[in-house]
Amino acid sequence: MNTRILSPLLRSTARAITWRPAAAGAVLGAAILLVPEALSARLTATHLTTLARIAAICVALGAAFLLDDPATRSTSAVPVPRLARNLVRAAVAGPAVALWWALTLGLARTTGHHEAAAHLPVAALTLEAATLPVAALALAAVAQRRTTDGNTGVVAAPALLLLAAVAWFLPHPAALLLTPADPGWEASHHRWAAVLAAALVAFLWAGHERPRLPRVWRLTAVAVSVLLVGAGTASAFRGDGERAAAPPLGSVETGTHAWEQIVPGGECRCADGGTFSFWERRADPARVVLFLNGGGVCWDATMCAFTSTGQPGENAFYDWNDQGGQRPYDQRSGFFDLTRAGNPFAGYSIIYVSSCTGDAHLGDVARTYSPTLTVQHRGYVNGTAALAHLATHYPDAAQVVVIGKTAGSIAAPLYGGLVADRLPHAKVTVFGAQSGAWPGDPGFNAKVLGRAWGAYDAAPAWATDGLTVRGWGIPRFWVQAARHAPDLVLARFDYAFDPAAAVEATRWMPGDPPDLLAVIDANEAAIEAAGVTLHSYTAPGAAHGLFEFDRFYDLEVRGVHLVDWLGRLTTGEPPGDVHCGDCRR
Amino acid sequence: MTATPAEAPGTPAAGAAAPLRAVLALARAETARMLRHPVTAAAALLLAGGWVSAWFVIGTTRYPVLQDLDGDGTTGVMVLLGGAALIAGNLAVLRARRDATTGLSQVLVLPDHARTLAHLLALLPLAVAGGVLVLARMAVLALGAPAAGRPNPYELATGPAAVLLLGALGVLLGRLGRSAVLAPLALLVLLAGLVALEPLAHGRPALWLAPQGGSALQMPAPVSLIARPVAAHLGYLLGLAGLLATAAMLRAGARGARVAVAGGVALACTMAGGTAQLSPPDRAVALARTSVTHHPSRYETCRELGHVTYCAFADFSRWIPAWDTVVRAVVAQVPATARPARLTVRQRLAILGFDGGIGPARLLAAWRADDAAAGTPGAIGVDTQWGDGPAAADLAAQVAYRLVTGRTGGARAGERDGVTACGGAGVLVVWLAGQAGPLARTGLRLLAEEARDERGGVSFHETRLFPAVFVPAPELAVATEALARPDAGVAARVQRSWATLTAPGTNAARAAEILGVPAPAASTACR
Repeated sequence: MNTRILSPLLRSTARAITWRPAAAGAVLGAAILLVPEALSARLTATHLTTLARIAAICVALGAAFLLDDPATRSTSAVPVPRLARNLVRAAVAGPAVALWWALTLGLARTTGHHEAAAHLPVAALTLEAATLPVAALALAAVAQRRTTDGNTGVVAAPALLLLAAVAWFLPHPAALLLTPADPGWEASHHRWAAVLAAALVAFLWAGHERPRLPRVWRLTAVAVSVLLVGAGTASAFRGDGERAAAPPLGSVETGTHAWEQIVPGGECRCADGGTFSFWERRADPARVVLFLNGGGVCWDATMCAFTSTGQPGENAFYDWNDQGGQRPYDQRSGFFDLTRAGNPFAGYSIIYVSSCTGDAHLGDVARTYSPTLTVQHRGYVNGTAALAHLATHYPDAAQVVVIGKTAGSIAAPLYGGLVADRLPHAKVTVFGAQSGAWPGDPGFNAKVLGRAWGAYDAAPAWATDGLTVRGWGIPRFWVQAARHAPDLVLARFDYAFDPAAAVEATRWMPGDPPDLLAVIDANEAAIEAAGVTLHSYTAPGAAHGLFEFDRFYDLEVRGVHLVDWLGRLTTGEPPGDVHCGDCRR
Repeated sequence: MTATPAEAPGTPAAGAAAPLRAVLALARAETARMLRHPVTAAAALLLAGGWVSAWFVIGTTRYPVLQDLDGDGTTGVMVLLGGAALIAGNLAVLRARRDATTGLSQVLVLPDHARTLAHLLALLPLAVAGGVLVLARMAVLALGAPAAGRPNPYELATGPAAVLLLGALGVLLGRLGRSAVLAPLALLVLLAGLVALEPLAHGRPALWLAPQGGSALQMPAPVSLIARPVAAHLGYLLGLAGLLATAAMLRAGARGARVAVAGGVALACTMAGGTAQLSPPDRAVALARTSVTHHPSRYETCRELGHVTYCAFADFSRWIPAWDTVVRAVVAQVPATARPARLTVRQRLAILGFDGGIGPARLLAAWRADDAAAGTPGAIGVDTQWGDGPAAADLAAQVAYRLVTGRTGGARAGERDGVTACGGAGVLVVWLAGQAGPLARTGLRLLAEEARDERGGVSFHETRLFPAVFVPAPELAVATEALARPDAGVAARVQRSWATLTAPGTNAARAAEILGVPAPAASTACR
C-alpha cells in the first residue's frame, strides 16, 4: 500500500464507518459521568471511578460497530487485505475516541464541585478506557471471521458486556475492577495492561485473511504492540505514582480545612530512596505551625533494615518510606483536633513533616550499613524543603511555631533558627516535646550525628560554629539556635520517666538504668548555664504520647494546664517553668 | 441467522383463533431462542456462580438472614438476567432488519404487532426461570444453613419483574431504533443509576422510583421491623413493564380496545404502586423499631445452655448453638473456680436510625437500663450478623474479659476504645478469644489489622457500633506469641497461674514470662 492510495482510503473509510453507535455511546457516556457529578457533591472517588468506567464501556460499545461493513461480501475480492482495512478504520476512529475521553475526563475533573473529581486516577483510568475499545475491536474482528453479512457489532457489543460482567466477578487475586483506595490497585493495572496487549494481539491476529502476512510483519506487529503497551503503561504509572501518594480520596477533610499532600521532589527522598512528601493544612496565613513529627531513628544495619512490621514502610525502629508513619488526617484528637475551641493552635496553618529517613530531620548522606542496605539519611534535605515551602507560601506569617514531637523535636531548635532566617519579621517559637533526655554524649555525637547521619556537614554553619563533631550534641542545638537568633522563644516538654522517648540512646546516658528525669534536668541546666532561656514543662509519670491524645487538654501540673501554658508561650508573655513535684506519680 | 418469523408455523388467517395460535407458536419458538441465547446462558451462569462463590467466600452467608438476603439477590437478577432479556429481546426484534427480511415479513400471516406480542410473551419464561433460580437459592440457604427469619415473597418476585421490565424495554427499543447498540447502552444507563442514584437520593424515598428500589438496611433486622414497600414496588415495576410493552405494541401498529385496556391497567398499576411505595413507613413500625432497639429484652426469648443464658430475637434463635460453641470454648480454658455462676449473652439491634434519634451515648445507657430491668445486668452483647471471623472474635473477647475481670466491658461516653484491658488481663482476653476456634482466630487477625492506629492494639466490639474492650499493643503482641505456641502447654500455664495473670499488678512483660514467650519489645504505660 503506498501513500497515494492512503488518502482516498482514509476518506472513504471515514464515510463507510457506521458512526452512529459510537456517537450515541460518546454522548451517553459523557452524560453518565458528568450529569451525576454536576447534580451531587456526595459522590466519592469510588462512585466517580465506577461512572468513568461505565462511560468508557459506552464508547467501547460504539467501537464494537466500527468494523460493521454491509459490503463485506464484495470486499473479499479487493486487493487491500482485511487487516489493513481494519487498521485504517481503527486509525480513523482512534483519535476521535481519545479526544472524547480527554474532553470528558477533563470536564469531569474541572467542573465537579468536589475534591474527589480533581483526584481521579487519570492514568490508570485511561489505561482501562483504552483497553475497552481495543477489546471491542478485537471481538468485532473475531466476529468478522464468523459472519458473512458484515454485522460484527451485533456480536461484539453483547460479548463486550459479558466480558465486563466476568471482570466484575473476578476474585481478588485476579481482580480488574478495584476501587482506587484498594492496595491492589496498581497490581490490577498491570493486569489491565496485559489485557490490552492480549486485545491488540487478538485484533491483529483476527484481522488477517487466509493468505497470511509474511512472518516478519507478524512478528513486528506483535513486538510493536507489546512495546507500545509496556511503554505507555510505565509512563502512565509514573504519572499516577506521584498522585497515588495522595490519600485515597484526594484531600482529606479535617473540620473545614483539608490536608493536602505536597511532593517537593528535587533531592528529597525517604530512606529507601522512595518519594518523600509532607502535608499542608491551609488556614490562617499569618499563623503557621511547622510540625516536625517523629518517625523513629536508626544508625546500624539492624535498626535501619527495610523490613516491615505491621504497616508497610516501617520497622520497629523507624519509618523508612512514605507509606510508613502517621498521617495527620488519621489523627483527630489532641493537637490534631483542630476545630476544638480549647486548642491553642486552632486556626493555624500547619505544615506537617514526618521523618522517613531515620535521622530526626538532620541528615544528608547515603550510608551503606551492609552490602545490601544503603540508607538515604536525607532528613535535612526533606525538612528544609518543607521549610522553603513555608517561607514561600506564608511570607506574611507573623507567628511561626516549630513543634517537634519525640525524635522530631531533636532538630526543632535548629529549624527554629532557619525559620527566623527566612522570615525575619515573624515571631518564632520552638516547642520541642519528648526529647529532653537525649544525651550530649561525645561518643553518640560522633557515631550517630556525625558519622551515621552526616548531620554535622549538613547543618548550617551557625549551628556548628566553634564546635567539633564530638562537642556538637543535641542539648547544644538549643544553645546554638539561641545564639544565632536571640529572639527565638524556646520551650520544651517532657514526661519525667517517658520510657520510649529516648530509649534508643539509653547506652549513652549515665547510670544503668539511667535516671531519665535526672538526665532531662541536667540537660536543661546545661542549656541555661550557657545563658539561654529555655521554658520547660515537665510532667510526672511514665507516659509517652501527648499530641495525639486528648490528654493534651487534660494535662495539668501544679495547677497549670499545658494548653494554657502553650497559649501564653505562643501569644503572650512566656510563662514560668512548670516542674512536677512528685514526678514518679 | 437463518431462522425468521417466516418459519413460524401457522395457517393463513381464518378466524381469530388462528392468529392467536400462531402468536403462541411464534412465542414458543422465540422463547427457545431466548433461553438458548449465549448471553442468557452466560448471565445465568454468572448469577449462579456469584451466589455459589458467596457461600464459600462470605462468612455471614453461612448464617443467612433470609429477610436480608432476599433483596440482596434482586440486583443480581435484574442486572444479569434482566440485562440478558434486554439484549436478547432487542436482538430478536431486530433480527428481520438485520437479515434484510423486513419486506418479506409483510406478506406473512402475522402482522408486526402480533410478532411484537410474541416477542413480549417470550419474556415470560425467562422471568419464570429467574424466579426458579431465586427460589432455589433461598431453598438452599434456608435448608442448608442455620438461617434466621424468612424471605419476603414480594421481594423475591422483584427480580423476575425486573427481567420483564428490561425485556419489554429491549423489545420497545427494537421497535424504536434500528441499531443494536441501543439495548446495551440502556443497560449501562441502568448500571449508572445503580451507582449514582443512591448518593443522589441521599436517603429520600424517591430512590424507590428507580428499578432497584430503596437502599437496604445497614444491618439485618427482625422481619417485623423491615417495612420496605416491596409489594408496592413490585406493582410499580410490573406496571412499568406493562407500559413499555403497550408502547411497543402501539409502535408496531396495534390498535383497539384491548391495547387501550392493557395500557390503562398498566398505567393504573404504575401510578398506584409508584405512589404507595413513596409513603413513609407506618408510625407503628417506627415506634416498634425504637422500642426494640431501646429495650431488646422485652422482645426476646431466652434459652439456657449450661450456665449461660442466651437471649435472641425470635427470628434469630437458630444461631444460639453457634454462639454457645464460641462461649463454651472460652469458658473451657478457665479454671473451674473462676467460672461465673451465671452469664448472659443478649442480642441487640444496632442500626443507626432505629434508635429514635437519641444518639449512641444514650442508646448505650438505654441498654444498660434494659439489662438491669430484665434482671441480667452486665449482659454481653451480640448483634444481628454472624458467621464471620470478627463477629466470633468480638463475642469471644467480651466473654473472656468478663471471665478475667468479673466485669463486663463497654464503652464510656466519648471513649473510642471501650475499657482498656491492661497487663495479664489483656493478654488473657486475646489468648482466650483465640481459643474460640479457627474462625475467631481469623477474626482476631482481621481486627488487629483493621484497628491499627497510632498505638497498635485491638478493639473488640459489642455489636459493630460500640467498642467494648481495648487491648493495647504490648498485650496483643504477647497473646499473639502465645497463640502461636502449642495450645496444651500454654493452657496448662494459664490454669496454673490464673490468679497471678489476672492480678491487677501483672504487666505484659510479667505475663509473657509466665506464659513462656518473649517479652514485648516496648511497654507503654497502660491505664
